[in-house]
Amino acid sequence: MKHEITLVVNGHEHRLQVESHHTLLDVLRRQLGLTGTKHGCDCGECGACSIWLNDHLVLSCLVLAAEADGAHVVTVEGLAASGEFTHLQEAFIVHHGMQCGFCTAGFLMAAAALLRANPRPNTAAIRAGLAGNLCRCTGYHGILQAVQTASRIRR
Amino acid sequence: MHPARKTQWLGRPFPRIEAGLKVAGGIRYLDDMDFGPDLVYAAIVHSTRPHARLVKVDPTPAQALAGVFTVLTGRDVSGRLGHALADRPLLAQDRVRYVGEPVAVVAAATPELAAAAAQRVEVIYEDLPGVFDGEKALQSDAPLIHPDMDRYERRAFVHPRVGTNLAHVCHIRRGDMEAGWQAAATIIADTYRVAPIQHASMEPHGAVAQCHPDGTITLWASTQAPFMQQAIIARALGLDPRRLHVRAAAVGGGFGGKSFVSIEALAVLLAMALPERPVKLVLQRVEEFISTFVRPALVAHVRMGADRQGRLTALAAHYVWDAGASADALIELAWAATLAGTGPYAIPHAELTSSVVYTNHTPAAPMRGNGMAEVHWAIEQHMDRMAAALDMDPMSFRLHNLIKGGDLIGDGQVMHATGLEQCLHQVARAVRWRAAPGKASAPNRRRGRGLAVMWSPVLRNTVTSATAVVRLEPAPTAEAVQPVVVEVGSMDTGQGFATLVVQLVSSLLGVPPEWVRVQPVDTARSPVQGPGLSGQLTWSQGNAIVRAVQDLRSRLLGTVAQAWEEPPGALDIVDGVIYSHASRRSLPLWELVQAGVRRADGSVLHPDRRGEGRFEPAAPGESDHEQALSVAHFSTGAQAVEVEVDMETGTVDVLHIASSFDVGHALNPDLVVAQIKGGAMQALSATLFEQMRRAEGIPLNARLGDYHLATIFDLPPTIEAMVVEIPQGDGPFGARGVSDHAGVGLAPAIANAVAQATGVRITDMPITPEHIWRALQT
Amino acid sequence: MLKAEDSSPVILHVIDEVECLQTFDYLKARDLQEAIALLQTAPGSVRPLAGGTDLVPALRMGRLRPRYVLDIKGIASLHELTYRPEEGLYLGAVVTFERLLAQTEVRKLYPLLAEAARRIAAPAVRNRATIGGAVCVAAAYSDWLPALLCQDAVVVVMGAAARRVPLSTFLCGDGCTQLAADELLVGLWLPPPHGTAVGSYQQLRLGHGSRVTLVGAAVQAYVQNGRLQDWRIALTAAGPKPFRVTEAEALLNQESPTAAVIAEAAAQARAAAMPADDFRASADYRRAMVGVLVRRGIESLLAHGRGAKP
Repeated sequence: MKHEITLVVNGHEHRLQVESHHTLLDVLRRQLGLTGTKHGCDCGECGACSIWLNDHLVLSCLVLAAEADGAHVVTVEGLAASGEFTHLQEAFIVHHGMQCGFCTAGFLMAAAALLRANPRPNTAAIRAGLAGNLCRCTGYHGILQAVQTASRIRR
Repeated sequence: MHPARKTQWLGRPFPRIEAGLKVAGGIRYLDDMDFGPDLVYAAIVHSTRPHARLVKVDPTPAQALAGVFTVLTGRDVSGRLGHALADRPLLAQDRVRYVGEPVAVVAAATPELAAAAAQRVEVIYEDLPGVFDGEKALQSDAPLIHPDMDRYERRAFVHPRVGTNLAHVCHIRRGDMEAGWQAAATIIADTYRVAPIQHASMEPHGAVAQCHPDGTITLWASTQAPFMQQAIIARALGLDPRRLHVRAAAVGGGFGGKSFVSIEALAVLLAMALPERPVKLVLQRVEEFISTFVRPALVAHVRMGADRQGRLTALAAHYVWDAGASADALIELAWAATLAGTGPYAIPHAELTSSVVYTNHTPAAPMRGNGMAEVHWAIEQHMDRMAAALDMDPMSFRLHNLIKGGDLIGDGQVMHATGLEQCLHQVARAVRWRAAPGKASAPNRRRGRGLAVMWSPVLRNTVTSATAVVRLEPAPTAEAVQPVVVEVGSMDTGQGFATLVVQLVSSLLGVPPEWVRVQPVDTARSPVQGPGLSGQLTWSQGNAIVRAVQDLRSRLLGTVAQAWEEPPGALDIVDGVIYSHASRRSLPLWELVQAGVRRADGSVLHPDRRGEGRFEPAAPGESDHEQALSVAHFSTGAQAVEVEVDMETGTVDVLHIASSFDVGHALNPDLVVAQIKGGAMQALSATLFEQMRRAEGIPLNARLGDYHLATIFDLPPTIEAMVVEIPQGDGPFGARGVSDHAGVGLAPAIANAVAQATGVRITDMPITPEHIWRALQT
Repeated sequence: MLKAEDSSPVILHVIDEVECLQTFDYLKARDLQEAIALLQTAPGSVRPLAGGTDLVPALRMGRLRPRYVLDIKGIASLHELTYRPEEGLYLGAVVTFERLLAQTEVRKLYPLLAEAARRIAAPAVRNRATIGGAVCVAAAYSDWLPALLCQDAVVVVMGAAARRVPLSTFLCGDGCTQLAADELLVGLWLPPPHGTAVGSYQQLRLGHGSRVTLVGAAVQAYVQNGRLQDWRIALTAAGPKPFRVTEAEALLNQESPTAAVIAEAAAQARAAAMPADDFRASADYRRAMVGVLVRRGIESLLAHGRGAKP
């Protein structure tokens, strides 16, 4: 079954035709070419597909595209373009919060969501905010330091 | 040349060159790349039985689906994959040997159609008795998994025992074992086990292949080893390797699982059946679990003897490696385990055997340490037990026996100087080894500390040599920027290799780092190189790059010196400008490349703009196995941990990890620290959480939800990384690699800490809470 | 000779994980009547979609193949979250766990619910997973169900008629509820607390943040007259479905909680448990841990209760 949906992605409105079984992740990557958000596991267990849906952090592999009709979506590309989290991105670079980089987009979306809700999180809150994202390379230490640093920077 | 400028960008913090792209979602991995509207999608039909005769494979129901372009089965293609032992069919022929083995492949217009078509291929199996345990596989009545093993192509250093499930055995002995046991006052023997685990890179395996009208085939792949893939796939398909161009995409983690050929050959097969259309095959996570390489299961039988003074006199070890249905990827690992299987100790009499055994499980390949993590799980626990039997402190016992430069190792080689002892002291100090155990946080909890030392051999084989090319491209505009292009055969899979290349080239050549471009690896253009295994990148490629830059410098400066009639030694390159200390003349590099250098008489000289460097490890000493597999050098290190154990539930909390490695020279200290900490956490995850569970060859936990990977909650409150620098004589600026073995000692360190805390020793990895609980009940 | 379809269910389950073509139709209900009407017309062909955290992977992997997937998030009444002191707490089916956690009243009055909600480690999952969805999935190792059982929660179901079923009756096994094919779970009703509630959720899992609970024990009591009364103890991953250990509760309600009484309560919990023996953990271990976790839960409440003012 086909659906016509409207999505506002990173501030731009798109009218799209999707199938019932397409997920939001499919549509972002294949139809909109926003490949920053990744397929890590397809069942909501790795966090690599994290985005903001109507300002909530969600796993885009668990959302059917048709469900998201009329929604506002922010992906890592939009996060970068907004300039609002440059200090977070820079902290990731300085603290080596990424190695292979595959999980990085998901972590940035989760970290940015955390900082928006809680601008001065303690270490426990940072861990809780990033608990849904898996990283196989860094062991999380650089990521933790990056978010700690970003939270200390006054914007 | 001013020494400070020579190493301007080395040994100091230097951010990753691609970091800016990574934090903006700008790196395109294989599945992100745009291959145009003609892209076709592939899916694999996996075996659902662990060992069975293939009675029927009928593609017709799948072919009937609209939008399906082709279905290939074992009837359409024969040929076996392997670099040392060709024992893995491209597609199953008369039988299947593991759940997950590719039985057929489908190409269709969409990924959903391909998956649906794969489901429709009719496969009929007739079960055969299976073998699901490495030791049982060695028994005389075990069913034969590869009855035609003697017909498999193999290299001379592969020693199978035809008529058995023993794919390869290697063995060394030094000294006189009888004398060694006689001299021992204390002899202890035991068996240790390691469960198989996933490499679990966050990016699944993926490949795109396309046949071109000119007869060449391009394969884009998420791979650590493009040249290896080229050689293996071409040989399996009977192609001239020069026809197959393998281009490495950005890789989202490999850890060894992407160092051989996994599913990439299947994309090539389909491309050959659909000329000119690119065919994409990307695995889903469940497929990652069942049909890509796993880290091998190990059963280790260890026996050690020590005299009354606490000196080790003899060690015998038999390592039985569960290769799964294909042993090809474990051949070098078995050699490494045999040559280094004593652990880093001076033992006069030693006998080591590695058996690589077929079972009906997913094939195994090395993961981060080339078998050393599994070997040290056994050795380093055994050392603690010997210490206890001798009533010696575990650290003192190790110090008493630690390998030093000049000691005999392997089967007659001599150990080089190493900072191992310093590493051990550093980690012991970090966890306050000499202090009394810390107070536990609750009455039913106990604290303990444990330590372990390690070494890891960098094997000298024909692919350890490396070549690099550094050349100056003509600048596109007169912008005062001179592109410096570096061509190497290895690439960054996350360790930061590309960054290291930029540091080396910019420092040695004397140009701003922004000018240096590291080319992606393309077998059609890049210098030939082996897979990114232990020591390949920093040490081997690093050396080649140093030589390439030196070659380029001498060509550039030689020409300018000639034009200016000065000795070349008076010239230098600083920040991209050629400068003469003698005459104070200067000439920007980009101008030299664009317009040449003018002589006094007005004529113009143009320099060679290309430098090449090659590194070959020095010839080894005497040994009675094939020269190519001796050890080039050892990397060493130590790890110490403090844990707290809940004595009622058996759960282990790791409070503190301290790691120290002798890296020769840390060219980029931050990257080294990142590798050490990342490696430690990967090892923590394997030690406490990870295990591929199977029942009679059937996978039980082939999903992330049931295969627990460490999360940020599992990061200990304190995690430290330290380095010792005893220069590697033949390393670039004295550097050795660290990425591959960064977690090797952690598992036994945790086991030793648990033993100190609880009084029980867990000999099977992973150390689950239930294991500890059960041990405490008895 | 075995055909693919004859393979053991375990294999087929694993292999069917590989994605296949989905031919379901996505529909969105505008109101409750529309949803019920569809369920009544085509029972067995409709899967309601709330947060999607369980349904979407199941659809993509082919574990479930409904004709219709009915999005119920557009139904206003299913988002209701109301507390009235005389009536208790009403949670609409599609209230997310994150929204639940954000309600101060819930955290204060039903602390165990907040504890359970926090056990979903991933914030992104808490933002989507719903309290009703978790009930319908009815996992034998659910962290949410024991917390609800301790509140004597009642399930509100709509079909041809509305009905209310105690949760304990509604659950019938691992992944199994009494929900008929033509019915929709519309909400949960929790009676008002009998005083200040104190609760403790003791959970055993591999590492921190693992998604599979090996054993769990929810313990709750009310501070009445300076003492802890009206004990509730519920176990998860200790039987085919989460359940209350009524014998242990009765003991604690009758006797003073001495160490001996607590040990006896723990022993009763162990005796009542029928844990699975599977690759995650053995039945022996789970049973032993039931005793440990129940004891710790009780001790935790007593330590908390000593500080509480009557």
